[in-house]
Amino acid sequence: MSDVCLEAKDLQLGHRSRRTGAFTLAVSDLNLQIMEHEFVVIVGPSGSGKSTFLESVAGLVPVAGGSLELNGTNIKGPGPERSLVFQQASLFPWRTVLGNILYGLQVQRRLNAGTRRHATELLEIVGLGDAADKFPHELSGGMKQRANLARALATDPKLLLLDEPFGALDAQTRENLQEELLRVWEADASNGRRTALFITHDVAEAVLLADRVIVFSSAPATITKVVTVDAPRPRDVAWRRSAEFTAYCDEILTALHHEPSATNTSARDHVNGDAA
Amino acid sequence: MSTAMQPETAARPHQPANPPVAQSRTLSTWMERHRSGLLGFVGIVVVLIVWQISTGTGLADPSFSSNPLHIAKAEVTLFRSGEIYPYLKASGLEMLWGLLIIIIAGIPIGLVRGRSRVLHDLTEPWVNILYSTPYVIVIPILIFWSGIGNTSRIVVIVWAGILPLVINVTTGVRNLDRDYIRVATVFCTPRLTFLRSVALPATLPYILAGVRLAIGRALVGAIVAELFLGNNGLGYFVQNSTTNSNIDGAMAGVVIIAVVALLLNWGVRLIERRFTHWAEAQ
Repeated sequence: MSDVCLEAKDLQLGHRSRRTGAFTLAVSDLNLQIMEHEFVVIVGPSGSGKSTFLESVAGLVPVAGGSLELNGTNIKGPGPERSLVFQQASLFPWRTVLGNILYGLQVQRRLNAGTRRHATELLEIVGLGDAADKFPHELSGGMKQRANLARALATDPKLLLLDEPFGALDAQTRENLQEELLRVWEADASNGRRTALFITHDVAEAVLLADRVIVFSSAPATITKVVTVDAPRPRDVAWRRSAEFTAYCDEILTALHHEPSATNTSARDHVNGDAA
Repeated sequence: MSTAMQPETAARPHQPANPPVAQSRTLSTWMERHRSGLLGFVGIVVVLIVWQISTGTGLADPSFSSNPLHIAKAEVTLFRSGEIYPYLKASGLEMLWGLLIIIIAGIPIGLVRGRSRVLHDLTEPWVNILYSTPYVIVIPILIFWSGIGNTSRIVVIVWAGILPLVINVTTGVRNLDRDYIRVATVFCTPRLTFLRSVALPATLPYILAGVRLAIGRALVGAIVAELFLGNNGLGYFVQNSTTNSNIDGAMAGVVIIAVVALLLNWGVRLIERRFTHWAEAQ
């Protein structure tokens, strides 16, 4: 239970501007560990480096300094042991829902009777059993995100990355899907629960989902606070209305709004100015 | 020929008209639904009638301008005697080969050029030169190289038709939705698989629009080549009939060419409707 899945040491990440060639730091000197089977949620103000961090874990953004290790190996690019649930569903419109979910298995040449069965089971679990042969344009926003989730799980990743997957949905659909995600996450536990790293700016979402909430500062991101959410699972709507839940939310909101030292802030503003 | 009215590069994928709505089949609603088609038909009929009348009243000389009834009669004779078949077959075969080469070579070239910046930049000047230069001017040189046989004709057809397809496919791939590329990257899609499983289907609307442009230009290339090479095909038939003052026969040949062009265009539109329904619904 206590093996380290993902470890960042003095991690630096950033983007180089194509026009000016200037390097803008998005994540600076980040140190964090994520354990196997842990559900970690990163919250931070929008424009902080949290999405950049997730993309670098997915292998889409190169490490600029320090190290980022998955099970003791440096991350050099995307890998089949990681899957990303995208912010926009980004389903391929020319494939059916089932076709989209099988995509990862197909291109990784892992499609066989067993993995196909798992994929169709996932389709049932996320509630799209009847929509297997539909095309993405026939689905609602919430259904697209369910397919997005099923696609990520179909390749049976060790580490599941979720990039604000419910950010663009209406409040009611979002609450439903948050509970669905927990249900799916617990139902799809073939060897223990899957390690998950979830990015959001919604504090309530973070508390509901997480074993541990990591609060990022604004860019370049560092860790402002780590909050362990010590509440039993499965967590339900009732718990969401409890005083304990609200207390966790307050603690995180306070951390988000009271960032450390003013001198750092001015340096940060300078960097933000470059990025703008 | 409707392809000739399209912009020549980077044509937008075909946009459908409003989807048909289920309605009761009374005459007036039928007329309403097929309004633009009916008006088009009326437009054609009006011109044909004016043409017929003007030759009948001596306003125009039918031995110079022919007229619709003469053309119809010539058409019947040509098909009944079988005189037209060798020409039709020659043009059809060279178009078939030309289009096969255009499609089989043009689509992969466009896909690769769209993905590789280096290859794109290396080939861009050549594409522009070949696309901008009127290919007609090199036909005499081609004849010098490969004679007046089928090879020269097919070379002209491919030259005429392949560039709009390549340019269209390249544009389509370069405008590929970044999200699709991210999905492909995260799921570790190998490069060649990416071309087949993402770039090809995602740019299918561009590809088919490009094929329509290619068909239009290839047909022009085929006819021009036949005029120059002067030994077979519909272009030669029309030219030969004109030289022999057989205007009815020449006009009948023109009508056949127009029908072939319209049929080819219509066929691609059918394929578009069948395979790119997802793009229309986006």
